[in-house]
Amino acid sequence: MSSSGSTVGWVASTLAIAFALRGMIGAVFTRPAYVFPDPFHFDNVGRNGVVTIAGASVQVRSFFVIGLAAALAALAGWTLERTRRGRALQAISSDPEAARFVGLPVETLVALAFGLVGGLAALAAVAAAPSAPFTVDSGALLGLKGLVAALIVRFGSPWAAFAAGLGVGLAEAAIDNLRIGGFGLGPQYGELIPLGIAVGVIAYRSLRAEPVARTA
Amino acid sequence: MSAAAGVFDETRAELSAAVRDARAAWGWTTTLWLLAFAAALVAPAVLPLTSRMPDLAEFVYLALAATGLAYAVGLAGIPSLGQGAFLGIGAFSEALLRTRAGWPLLPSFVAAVAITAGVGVLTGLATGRLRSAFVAVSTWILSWIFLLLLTSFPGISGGAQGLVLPPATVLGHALTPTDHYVVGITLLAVAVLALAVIAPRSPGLGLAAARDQRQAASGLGVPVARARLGVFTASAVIAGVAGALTVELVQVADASSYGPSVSFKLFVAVILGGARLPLGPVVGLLVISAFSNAAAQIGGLRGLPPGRLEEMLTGYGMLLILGLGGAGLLPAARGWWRSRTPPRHVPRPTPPAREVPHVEAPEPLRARGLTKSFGSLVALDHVDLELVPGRVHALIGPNGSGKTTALKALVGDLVPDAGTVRVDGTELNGPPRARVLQGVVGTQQATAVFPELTALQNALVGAGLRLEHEGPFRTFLRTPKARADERLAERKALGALQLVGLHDPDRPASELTAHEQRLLMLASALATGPRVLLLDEPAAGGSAAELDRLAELLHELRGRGLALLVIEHNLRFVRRVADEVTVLEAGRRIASGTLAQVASDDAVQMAYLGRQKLA
Repeated sequence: MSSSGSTVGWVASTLAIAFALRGMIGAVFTRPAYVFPDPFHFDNVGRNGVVTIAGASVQVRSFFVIGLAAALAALAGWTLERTRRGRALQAISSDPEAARFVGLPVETLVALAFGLVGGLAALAAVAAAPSAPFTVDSGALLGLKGLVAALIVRFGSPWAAFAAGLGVGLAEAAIDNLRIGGFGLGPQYGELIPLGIAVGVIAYRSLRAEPVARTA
Repeated sequence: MSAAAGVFDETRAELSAAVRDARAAWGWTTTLWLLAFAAALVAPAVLPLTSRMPDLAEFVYLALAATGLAYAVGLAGIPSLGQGAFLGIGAFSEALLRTRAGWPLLPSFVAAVAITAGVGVLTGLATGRLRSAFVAVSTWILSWIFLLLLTSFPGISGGAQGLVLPPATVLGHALTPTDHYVVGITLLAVAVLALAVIAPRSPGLGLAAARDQRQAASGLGVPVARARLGVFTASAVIAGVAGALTVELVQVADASSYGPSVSFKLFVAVILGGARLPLGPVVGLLVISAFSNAAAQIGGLRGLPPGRLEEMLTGYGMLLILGLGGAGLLPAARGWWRSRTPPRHVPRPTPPAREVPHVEAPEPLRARGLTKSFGSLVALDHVDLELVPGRVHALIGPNGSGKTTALKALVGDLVPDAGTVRVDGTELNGPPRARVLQGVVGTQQATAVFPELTALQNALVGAGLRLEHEGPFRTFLRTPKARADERLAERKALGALQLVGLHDPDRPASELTAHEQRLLMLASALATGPRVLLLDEPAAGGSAAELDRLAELLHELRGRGLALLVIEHNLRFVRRVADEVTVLEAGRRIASGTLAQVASDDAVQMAYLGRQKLA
């Protein structure tokens, strides 16, 4: 029926679930921050878990995190492109009404998609958690950066989103640490600029787009 | 002297007309509203509320911001998650101007609201053409950017202790929390009233139409992009006003009070209370406040950080509402009340049946060389068409022959690669609205009525096109010209409904049959006052009796001097109504003439009609 009406409903329910869950976690885990032990003992590798590559000190963990993320992106891409259910999800994304019309179980598949998204987010959190103290709010900011990366590639393929995510992370680290000729932006810009770029990309696309009413 | 007397008489006549209108529209709900407003205003003088006044005033300002959000969410269906940021922009602009620039209260206030309006316009422009899911995401990011900006730069935000403002004085009078409360209640009443007045009238109906069926609304000449930008900006401005006043009330601007969680809270308030009803956001915010009180009590017992349980309970409350159907508390309550009380029938004067006048300046529409390709597919290949006033022209051809593409090129829904469309010597090359203003209007192939509006409101979307005094401000102020325009539009709309044979103007469009919905689309198109009318499969789904009536209607429109184009598959119907026929195949015109001439054409018989006998 009304496309914007149902979007309002979707936005409202996902946000409501997010805040309800976050509140629940906050009620159970009452300490300000938690430090998670590393299940894979990367600190035994190299010098206390740090190796030096071309003059740069890199945590061995980060290679594991990058590898895991790439593997998950590949798996998600394969699921979406090659499996029946994945293609059905793509069909729903482009036209839910038509998907329903040809007999796809839209509700079940959307629930499945949410399950997959939740599972991926949980894996990402488990992989990232030992890197730094984790708070109840860490998830919100991490999720926001994921959203920004996915938005930059227009919710396209998981590979593209992975690449965009790496780009956002690199940009953030570079802005935090890089100093060129005595000039550096500093950490206060690290989180802001990627978000700003995302907003710029969105605005550019919106202004360049044909008005919605005029596309056939 | 006599001129002055004339003006005086005129004013008196207008005033008495306004009083007459007001008395006619007065009901017990109006009385209730006025009493509630008066009670809210005198409450601080009568009740022992002095110690609670700062909290109450702050609540009222937040309710004002929530009502502002309902302009975007309820009226236009824009899922904005940036209201917290706009509130904060108003607040911090005010605080920075007052503390750093040392400006007095009033100029700072005006500047703060102007800054928020500017950011609102930019955000509206940047997100205006996006799908609603993207609008939600981008405004959500905006909320975060605002918060991160403040927390990353303590130099701007005053760090952990925030910016502390000097005492608020206006013209030597120090503002008390009670003053703030009175100002807040008055502004809230104005915002709610404006929403109530605008929603069911031309500007609101155009937005509601675009909310449900953007393309159809644009096809009836609704300036969709402009209207949505306007309502989004209004929403931001109201948040800016609320933010600037809040910061004057609490005397400190604190970064943690704005941003994503406030955006979430306001969005929840709007959905919880009911986005489509003017008082919905206020009710929603009241419920959330009850939640937070309960949460604070429980959380206090368990020693939890403040706010944690509040968000959880708010989230669950919202899920409950959405699970129950999602319309919100106030609409649910209204539905329950209406199901208990018998509907009050409002007598409506039946308009004279033949209100749609003859076309004043009939003009033929000439299309030359229309060409459109989608990639390698040539949908239209140098098609010529001429639509003559007082004649029905049928466009036929097999599926995929380019009929609908031709219609879309004529009404401006898509831009052809080559070719011209002319009416009255002027070339039409603008978007649909410009063409509807020139008198060229089309209906959609699929039924595209506005399901949440009544039949009359559907037709009013079309009838609102040529009104000059129907802007949101005039509509809200109920100026004599706006009211005269409204009466004119209603007459046109009722006349169009009468003409197509829809006799219950107050029925919701979603309750009509598929054929009636097609007639309603036709009525909305007729209400724009067209010279050239383009119909895409008007006969689809009609019974024999309904088609008889439709054929009669098309003859009647032809008799009024309209130039008609009908795309149709039902050749029996084409034979009854068409004076001329053009046959398209694979985007090319392969024949035109009377149906008999076309039917005997070899190319036509080869291409398409071999399977079905024509005459």
